[in-house]
Amino acid sequence: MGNDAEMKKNTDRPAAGLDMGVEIAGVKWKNPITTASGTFTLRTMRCYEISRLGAVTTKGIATVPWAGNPTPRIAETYGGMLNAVGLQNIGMEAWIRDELPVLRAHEGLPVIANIVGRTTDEYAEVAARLSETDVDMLELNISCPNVKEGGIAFGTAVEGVFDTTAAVRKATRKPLIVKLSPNVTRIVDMAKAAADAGADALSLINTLLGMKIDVYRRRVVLANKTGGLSGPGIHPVAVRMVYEVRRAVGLPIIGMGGVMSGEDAAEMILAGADAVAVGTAALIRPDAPVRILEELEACMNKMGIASIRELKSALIE
Amino acid sequence: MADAPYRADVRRFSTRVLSNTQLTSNIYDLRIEYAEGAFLPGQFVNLYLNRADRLLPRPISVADGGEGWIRLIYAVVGKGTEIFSRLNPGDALDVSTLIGNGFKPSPHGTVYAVGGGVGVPPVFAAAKKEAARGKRVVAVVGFRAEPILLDDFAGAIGAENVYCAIEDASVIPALEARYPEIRFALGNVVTILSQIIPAEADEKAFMAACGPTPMLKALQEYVKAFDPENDGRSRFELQLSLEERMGCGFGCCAGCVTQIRDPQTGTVRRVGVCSLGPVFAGETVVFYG
Ligand SMILES: Cc1cc2nc3c(=O)[nH]c(=O)nc-3n(C[C@H](O)[C@H](O)[C@H](O)COP(=O)(O)OP(=O)(O)OC[C@H]3O[C@@H](n4cnc5c(N)ncnc54)[C@H](O)[C@@H]3O)c2cc1C
Ligand SMILES: Cc1cc2nc3c(=O)[nH]c(=O)nc-3n(C[C@H](O)[C@H](O)[C@H](O)COP(=O)(O)O)c2cc1C
Ligand code: FES
Repeated sequence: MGNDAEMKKNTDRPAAGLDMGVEIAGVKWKNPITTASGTFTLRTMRCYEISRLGAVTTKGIATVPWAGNPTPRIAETYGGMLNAVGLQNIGMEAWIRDELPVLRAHEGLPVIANIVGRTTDEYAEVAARLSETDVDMLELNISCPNVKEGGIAFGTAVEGVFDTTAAVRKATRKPLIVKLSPNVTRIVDMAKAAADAGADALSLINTLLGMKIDVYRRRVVLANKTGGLSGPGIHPVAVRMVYEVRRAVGLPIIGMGGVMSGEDAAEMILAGADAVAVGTAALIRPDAPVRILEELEACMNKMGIASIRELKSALIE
Repeated sequence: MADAPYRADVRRFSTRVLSNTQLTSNIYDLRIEYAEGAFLPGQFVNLYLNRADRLLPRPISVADGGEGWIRLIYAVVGKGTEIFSRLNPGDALDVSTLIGNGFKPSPHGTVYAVGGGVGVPPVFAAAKKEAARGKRVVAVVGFRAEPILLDDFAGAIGAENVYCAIEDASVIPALEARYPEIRFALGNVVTILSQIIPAEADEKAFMAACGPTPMLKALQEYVKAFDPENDGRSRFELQLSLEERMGCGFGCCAGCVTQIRDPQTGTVRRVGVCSLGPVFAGETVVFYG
């Protein structure tokens, strides 16, 4: 049956000879593929061998548990989905106790902790606490559109980006990634503010603010009314933003937004990303991140490109 | 020693349609090739449409299964299920591995299998399995006007143990003529339970239920009434199978949460229907609104 054919694909190792390694803010990844925050949990370990990835990125972690939004939290859109999970999370102490050791058990797999707060102080508090652990990198989420306080409120104004990044920078010596919101007029201004405040790397894009109405029920689908749009439909927006930011700041970039295939990942890297995160694709196909890694390798072979470094500078302009 | 090759528990793969027959004006009975036919009642699979406008999974409970096949019974309620209704034998279909925790096996001698509408199929699966384990199973199922699976219930647990609530009085005479051994009543499943339960022995019983939220809420209230001391020891051990909108259907997005009260601490937490459910202990479910 189909299962076995799928299985085989799943475990076949890539063609040898490619140099897939990247270094993001001093941390070595064996390949450029990571998970997009909010689409990876410990349950992902049942979907594929997570140690095959370049790194894993967790769901947003706050000082204390957050309940998140009521349901429905999910709506389907053309070429994507809306989510309004609202950063439900178990809080930093439970995460450090229950989840970090499980991830740490995967040798050679950098762990990126995505952090959230309602205030600048809370962001700094999570960063400081996680700095006491052996987590490899922190990703500052100042771009979640689904919470009233925190998240996007900090990420859509230059001062907010600067102040939050600076506060967290003071609280941690860990490599600091700042995750940018696409819900702004000029993404480059936000990227520069993060860089000026001491970010070591940038990740983009978070979801685009959207809404869906059920026509026959005449109701807004999401309990939160608005939600974050992700999936293949947002890919061109993400590519454009990565391209713009690459030309404005020198920091490493983790590109994300609608990466569904190896070619999409290659496109991100051509646009200027150093690494690529896979989100929605992994919700639709459980093993998408490792499939995309294999496809990226196949794509590079087809292009006659031998390393990620080479791919990154291969765009002809 | 080399590591054993990794095999993912959660997979998506292509399989084939064996049959897809119409049961009522909007309910279909789909059989697909499926290697792992040994499922737990209450478990479900994700069906995928492979279309840019329908990327998300359609979770459907497994109603029955055997060597190399499973049976899924679904209502056409939107575009996705409408597309499924046009599947033909031999067509390819993308599906997931089995997901979720099913109904736990009954620790009691008597099982009430209570279902409403397209919540009936997983309850049928539980009824069939419990009957095979030698339990006495009573099915109480409710529909607006067009019942499904009545012959299947009769075959699995005996027609004399099947009760069917119907909301549309006008169809009852025809149903009684068609299924002479099954008892029909106007109303809903609670109407029937109130009629038959006092006549039952006063022993503890297991109740496996799935259906629309108002029905599940009513059942929660119904079993509570058998717990006059309010010490949590109802005569019924209720298990509810819940539905929520799903993003992934396998525990990775936190999209599908329901509210569950911890019986020890009393704290209410939002937990994934796809990862910790879809079946939960009845008294722990805190319905929204
Ligand atoms: C664990 C579980 C088991 C289920 N078992 C069955 C079953 O055995 N038989 C059956 O007929 N139905 C079942 N459902 C409901 C079924 O999944 C939906 O009716 C179906 O997804 C609707 O798809 P659509 O494209 O036709 O509807 P659309 O309205 O076009 O769907 C749009 C979106 O809403 C979601 N959606 C719509 N209604 C529901 C719902 N009630 N529950 C969850 N998601 C929904 C869809 O998945 C999709 O993402 C189950 C749901 C869950 C969560
Ligand atoms: C269900 C869901 C939950 C998410 N949760 C978070 C989160 O907690 N923190 C965060 O920084 N981004 C979160 N995101 C955004 C993703 O990490 C990513 O930036 C975005 O979805 C775009 O990538 P994609 O199109 O590959 O999904 C979430 C996305 C989805 C779909
Ligand atoms: S649907 Fe994604 S966690 Fe349940």
